[in-house]
Amino acid sequence: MKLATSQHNLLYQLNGYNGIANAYETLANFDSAKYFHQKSYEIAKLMKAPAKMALTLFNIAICYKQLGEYKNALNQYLLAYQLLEREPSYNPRVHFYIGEMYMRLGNYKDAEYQSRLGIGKCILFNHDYVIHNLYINLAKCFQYDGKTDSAEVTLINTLQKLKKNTDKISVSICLHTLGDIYFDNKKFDKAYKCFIEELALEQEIHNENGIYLTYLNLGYTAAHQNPKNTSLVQSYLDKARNSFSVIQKNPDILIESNLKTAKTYELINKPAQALNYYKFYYALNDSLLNKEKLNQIVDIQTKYETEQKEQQIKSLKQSDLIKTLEIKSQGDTIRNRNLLMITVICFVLFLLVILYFYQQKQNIKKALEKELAIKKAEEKERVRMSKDIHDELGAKLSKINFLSELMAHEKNQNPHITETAETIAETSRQIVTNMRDLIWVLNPENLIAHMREYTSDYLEDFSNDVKLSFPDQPDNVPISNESHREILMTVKECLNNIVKHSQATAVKVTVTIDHKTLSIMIKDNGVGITLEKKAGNGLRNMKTRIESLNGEVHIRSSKEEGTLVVFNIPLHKIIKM
Amino acid sequence: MDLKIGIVEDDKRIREGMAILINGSEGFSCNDIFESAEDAIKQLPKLNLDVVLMDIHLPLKTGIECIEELVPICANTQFIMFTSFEDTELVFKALKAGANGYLTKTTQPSKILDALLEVHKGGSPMSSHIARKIVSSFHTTETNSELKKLSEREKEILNLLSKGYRYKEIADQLFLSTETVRTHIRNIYEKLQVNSRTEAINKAYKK
Repeated sequence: MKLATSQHNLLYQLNGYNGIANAYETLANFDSAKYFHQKSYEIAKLMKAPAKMALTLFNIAICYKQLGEYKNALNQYLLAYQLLEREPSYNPRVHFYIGEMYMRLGNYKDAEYQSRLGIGKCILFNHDYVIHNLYINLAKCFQYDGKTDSAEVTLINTLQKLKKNTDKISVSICLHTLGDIYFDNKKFDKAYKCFIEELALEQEIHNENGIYLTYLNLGYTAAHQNPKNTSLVQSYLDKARNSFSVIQKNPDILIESNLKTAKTYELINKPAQALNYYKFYYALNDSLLNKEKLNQIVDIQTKYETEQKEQQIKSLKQSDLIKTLEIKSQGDTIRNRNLLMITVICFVLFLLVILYFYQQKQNIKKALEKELAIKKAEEKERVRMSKDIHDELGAKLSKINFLSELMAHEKNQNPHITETAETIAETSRQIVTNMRDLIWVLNPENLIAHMREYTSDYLEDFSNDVKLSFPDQPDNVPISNESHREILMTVKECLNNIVKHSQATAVKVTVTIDHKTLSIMIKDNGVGITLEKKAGNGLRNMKTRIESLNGEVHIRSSKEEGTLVVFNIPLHKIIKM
Repeated sequence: MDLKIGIVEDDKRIREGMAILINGSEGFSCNDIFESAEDAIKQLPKLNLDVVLMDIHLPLKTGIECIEELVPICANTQFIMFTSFEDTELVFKALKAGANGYLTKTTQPSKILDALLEVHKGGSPMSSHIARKIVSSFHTTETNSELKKLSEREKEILNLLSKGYRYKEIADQLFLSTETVRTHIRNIYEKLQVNSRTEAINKAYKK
C-alpha cells in the first residue's frame, strides 16, 4: 500500500516533470526541456519502470536532436533500445530513430543495419506504420552508398504504400526524401514535382519547418531547372523567408537553408545576396564547429581538470601524509626539545642548589677560618709575650738566682750573709718556677705528664715510699690552659704542704680520668692538718682554685691516719674546646 | 785528674761566678771562658776540654749554631746547654745539633756539678717534655731515619719518659738498672743527632 502510494506519488512527479519539459519544448527551450526530461528519467528509474524510462530517454534524445547534439541523442536512443528490447512495449520505431542519428553522424553503415533490423522487426510484429519510415531511412542509406536506383525504387514503393494510408506526415517525409534523391540524381523535374506535392502536404499538416524547407528546395530546384527564371526562384525564396520567422530554429536546418539559399542566389546570378547567405552559412557553420570544438575543449578541459584535481588530491594526500609525518617528527622534536629543556633546567637548578650550599659552606668555612685566624693571632701574641718574659724577666731572675746561689755557696764567710743569700736564691727560684708554670700556660703542655714528672721530681728526695698512679694515655685529654695552671698550682701547693708540714714517710698520688671527671687523690701518712693550718691561706687557695673549675675538694685528716685530699673536677669544664 | 770545663756565656757575672764555683769544687777546673760563639769556635777545637757549658742566647751566633760546628770536630768534648729556663723547642734543637744535656740557670750549684760529672760519664738527662717532643717528632717527615730506627726498648723508655716517669721509676718498671736506662737515653740522643752531625761533617769537609 505504501509502495503503491509512493509509486503513485512518483508517477505524479514524473507527469509533472514531463509536463514542464513539454512546455519548454513548445517554447523551443530545449536545454530546460532536456533538464526536466532528465528529472523524469530519474523518477522513472526510481519507479523501476523500463517503458517509462525508455520514453523519457526518447524525450531527452529529441531535445539533444533539437540542440544538434546527435551523438548524445544516439546514446539516449541506444539506451532506450536496451531497455525496451525485452519489454512488451517494444516498438521498432526505435530503430528508425537510431538509424536517423547514425545518418546524421555520417555512419550510414550502421544506419542501414538499424533500418533493416527495424524493417525485419516491423514485419515480425506487423507494424505497418513504422516500416515506411524505416524504408525511407534505408533509401537514404542506399542513396549515400551510391545505389540511387534502389533508393528511388524503395522510396516510390514506400510512397505508394503510404498513400494508401492517411499518414500525411510520413508521406511528406517520403516525398521530401524522394525529392532530395531525385535532386541529387539531377532529375530536377521529378524532384520539383515531389517538392510541389510535399508542399501541399506540409501546408495541410501545418509543418512550418517542412513548408520553409520545401520552399527552399523548390527555389533551389527551380534554379537548377532554369537559372534564368529568376522571378520564380525569387518568389520561392521570398516565400521561404516569409515562413522563416515561424520555423523552429534548428541549427542544422539553418545551416542547410542558408547554404541552399546562397547557392540558389548564386545560380540565379545574384551574387550580393549569395554572398550574404554564404556569410550566414559560414558564420553558423563556424559557430557550430566552434561549439563542437568548444564542447570538445570543455570535455578535454573537464577531463584535464579532473585529472589535475585527482593529482592535486593525490599530492594533497601525499602532502597530508608528509605533513602528518612532519607533525609527528615535529612533535618528536618538540618533545625531545622539551625534554632537553627540562633536563637543562633541572641541571641548572641542581647546579644553583649546589652552588648555594657550596656558598653557604664557604661562608661558614670563612667564618670559621676567620675565627681560627683570630685565635691563632691571639695564640701568637701569647707566645710573643711569653718569649719576652722568658728573655727579659726570666734571664734576669735566673741571674739573681744563680748569683745568690753562688754567694750562699761561698765558704768561709759570715753565716748571716750565707743565710740571706740562700733566702734570695730560694725566693728567686720560686719566682722563676712560678713564671715557668705561667709560661707553660702560654705554651700548652700535657697536664698529666707534667703533673707526674713534677710529683716524681719533687718527692724524689723526700721519701723512698712514693706511689704514683697516673692514667696511661695522658695525651688524650686536652685540658685548657687556664685549668692546667689552676690544677697544677693546686697539686704543687698540696705536695708542698706534705713536704713541709706533714712529717709523712709515705705518699701516694693517684690520678684517674673517666668520661666525666678528672680525679686527683693525694694521701700521706703524716700528722694531719692542724687547726691553725686549716685556717691558713694554703687550703683556702686550693679550694678557690678548684671551685673556680666547678670542682669539689674533699679533705680527710687525722693524727693517726694522716691526710687524704681529693679533687674531683668535671671534665666538660676543663676540656679545651 | 780534674775535669776540664769550658764556659760559653755572654753575661760576665754568670760566667765568672760559674768559673769560681767550678774551680772551687774538687775534681773540676775551669780556665777557658768565652764571651761569644765565634770565640769558642776559634779556640775550643785546640783545647780538648771534657765538658762545655753553652748558653743558648748569645750575641751573634746562637749556642745551638755553635755546637753544630763544634761537635763534629771536638770528638772528646761533651756539650751541656745552659739556659735561663727550659724551652722545649730550643732544647730539642740543641739536642739534635749534638748537645748531650741541658741545665737551667736556676739549678742549684751542687746539681750543676752533678750534671757535669754525669754527662762526662756518658749519661744524658732527658725531661718528659723532651721525650714527648721526640715521640711526636716520629710523626713528622723531617724526622731523620735513624731516629725512626729506635729499638723497642728505647721506644719503651722514651714512652715512659714522655708520661713523666723518672729514670729510677723506669728502671724499676722495666727491671733494668738506672745505668742501663741512662745508656739507652744516650743512644736515643745519638740517633737524634745523626742527621745534623752528618750535615755538620759535610760542612766541615767542604771548608
